[in-house]
Amino acid sequence: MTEPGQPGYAGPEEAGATDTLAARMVGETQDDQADSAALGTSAEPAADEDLSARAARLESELASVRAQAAAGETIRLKVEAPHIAFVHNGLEVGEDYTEVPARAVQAMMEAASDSGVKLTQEET
Amino acid sequence: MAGPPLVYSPPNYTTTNVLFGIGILFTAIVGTAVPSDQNLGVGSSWTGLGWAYVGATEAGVTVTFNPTTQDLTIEEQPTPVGVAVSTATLQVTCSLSEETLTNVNLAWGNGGSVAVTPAGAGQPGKSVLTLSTNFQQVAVALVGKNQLGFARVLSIPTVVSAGQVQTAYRRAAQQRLYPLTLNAVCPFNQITWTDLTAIATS
Repeated sequence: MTEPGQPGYAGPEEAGATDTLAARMVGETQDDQADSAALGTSAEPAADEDLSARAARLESELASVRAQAAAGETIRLKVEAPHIAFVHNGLEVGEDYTEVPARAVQAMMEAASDSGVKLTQEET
Repeated sequence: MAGPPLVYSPPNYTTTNVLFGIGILFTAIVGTAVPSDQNLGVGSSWTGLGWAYVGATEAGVTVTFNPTTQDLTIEEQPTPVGVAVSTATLQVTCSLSEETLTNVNLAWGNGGSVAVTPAGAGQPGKSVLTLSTNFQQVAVALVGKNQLGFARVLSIPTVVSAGQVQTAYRRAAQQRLYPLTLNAVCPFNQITWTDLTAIATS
């Protein structure tokens, strides 16, 4: 049905894919390539990478970019001992600093306080 | 001389449009992106973006749209001259069969938090759900299969879990169930149905 790796996100040189966000993402102009590097994307396929593998890789990158775009500004939080994780409203903070959407931080801090859990925000 | 024959010729119906089958219910923090069109039917694409699958249900998922209307009438005409929508509610309901703290919290308003403590010397590992009546909004997506075998997705960007939750602890009669009632609280024009109709051309 809609398995990853199906064609549709192959790349800019394939004109049929240019109406997809993925194709636009990887079809960077030279101006966009700095952004692309920052995001860890690569429009150029590896020499031995077939189309299915490349499509799967680009899908993964697209998902990451979509998640970043949707999250907006993020704050890094971690949970302090004796706890190892704290979950609120579908967001989980672990022992290591975890990206949390900035808009969700206040509610998460209040919930942590109510639960007797200490969260630490990374200093910038 | 007789006129033309009187033909009874109703239109054909389309049996392949009669659909059945379960819907997969995902929830996520408000604002979470949905997968790309190509991946709307791929479960891992949803979970990879932060959507949580509610898991097994007792009797599937039910979507209920319930508008109430106000007839506009005039003395001179017995039938209404217009009908205005006064209220409209959209609910997604199901009975969660998987008793996890995440599901308990979701059914009980999604206001609680889970704190995880690892096992240590003299300390068993534990997870504690602390409840709250400060219900948190959540996004919902219901993924079904259309007549072509592709994904058909109902997306409701903002809902609140607010419904009576009654769970029976029975020896053998049934599993413990957590009725979930999700009420849409977003403008109606933010709610979408997306229907995949053909694979990409290249």
